[in-house]
Amino acid sequence: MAKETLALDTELEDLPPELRWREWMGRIEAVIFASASPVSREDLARVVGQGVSVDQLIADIQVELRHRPFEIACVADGWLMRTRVQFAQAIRVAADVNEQLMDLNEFEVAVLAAVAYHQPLTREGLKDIFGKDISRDLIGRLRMWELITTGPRSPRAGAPYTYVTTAKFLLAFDLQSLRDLPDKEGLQDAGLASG
Amino acid sequence: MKVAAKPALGDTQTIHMLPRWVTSAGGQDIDSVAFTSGAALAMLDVVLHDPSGTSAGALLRDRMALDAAIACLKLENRRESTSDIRDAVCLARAGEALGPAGDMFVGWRRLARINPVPSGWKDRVVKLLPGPVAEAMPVLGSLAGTPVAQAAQVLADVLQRFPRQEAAALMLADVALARAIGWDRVMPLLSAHLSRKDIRAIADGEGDPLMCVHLAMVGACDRAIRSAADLSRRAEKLRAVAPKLRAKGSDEALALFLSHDAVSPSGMLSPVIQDTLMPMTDRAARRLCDRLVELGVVRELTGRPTFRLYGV
Repeated sequence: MAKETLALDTELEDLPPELRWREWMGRIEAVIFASASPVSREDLARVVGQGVSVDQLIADIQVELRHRPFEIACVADGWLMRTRVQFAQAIRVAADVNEQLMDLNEFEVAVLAAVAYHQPLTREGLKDIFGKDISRDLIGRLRMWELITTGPRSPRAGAPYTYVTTAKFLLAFDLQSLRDLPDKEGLQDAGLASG
Repeated sequence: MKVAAKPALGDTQTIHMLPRWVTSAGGQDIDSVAFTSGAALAMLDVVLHDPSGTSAGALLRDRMALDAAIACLKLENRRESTSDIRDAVCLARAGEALGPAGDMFVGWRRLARINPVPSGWKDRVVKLLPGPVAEAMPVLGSLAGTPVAQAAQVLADVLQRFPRQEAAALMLADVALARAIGWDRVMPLLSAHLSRKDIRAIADGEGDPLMCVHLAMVGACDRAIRSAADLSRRAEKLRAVAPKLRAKGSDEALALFLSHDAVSPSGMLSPVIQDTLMPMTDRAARRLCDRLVELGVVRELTGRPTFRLYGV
């Protein structure tokens, strides 16, 4: 995202308070709408007055969007605009979004989950978990989708790269942080882990 | 390092541990717990007071940051160990992702290098916090009372607003404590001494934050004072061998050892010594580390034949 340092009147002192607030709301919504990736609070704060609560502005925008099919969501330390989950089916039927969809198969999701829980993790480590070699192609796809990236090298012969998850991973799975990964209890409740 | 090998006899050198009456005081009522925690904190304050720069404050804070990071990772259901963190931080190259454990430690390490007294501390702290907590910082109420009370107040306030941001809450509590006491660096104290149960209770608005923090403070000060005594002794030994080292850049290398939990010869000492412009070849770095181990002033931390890490 190219950001230019243009002079922008952020204080808007010649406007009455109510209009000023509306203008700030408009700016926030516009920035989030126009941006392809989540926008950080820091960046949003640059288009509104000094010390103005970005959260408050977003809360007000969210109220206005209540009956719209899209929403502003907070993911991975930033905000983005997205369609509401209930319209997923409709979008799949008619909209041309195939290029954006990362059609992860079950095994790719499993590998991704292993990285998420055990990161930093090497291919060797993945082999230990799954009992078979994980192809470079699969790792390559996860990297291409920017769900994982290379982390610190592993301290063993050849210094293989480890893999760690990215902010985009959090975004794709609607997590605010890795803290939101289900813990053991949650996995058991979902029938995904044995006691 | 041009510091004289013979350190001035600091009055801090005499405190090696907390007296028994502080660490094993009976009574669990708030009065007796507050009394012992106050005594413990006062002694730590003396230990950390180091006008001559002979103790190993920077190294102590780095090690305490490591403890804090491990405790916070546990709270987040991650089981990384000390060596996992060291590997992540020391073996990653510039610009590479560190992974959650490395990130957690680096966050605490940066926090422990912040001087919380002059203006500008807030901006530096905010950078270490997750977005929502950073935004809420200005509305965190103004603090009053003793340093421990202030830390407890911040801890409870942040945890109740953000129950899943334990690390951020603990960081801000340590900042509040350091500010209230007037320390010139944040010391990571509380994380490793509060139980998950206490933290959950405080987040649910049920526990008694003040009581918990007082209790944690005794344990935290005990740990910090013991580590400080141990590390000052080791640092003194390390400084004493400085004149024997003839390698170019050895002073800069020793400074790195005196401020970092672990040092990787290939990543942090060469091709240039980290945070300096001093060049050092890979071979020279390894030889220097071997020599320091031989002199008994530095330990190899991993037990591995390769990718070795060294620390005081």
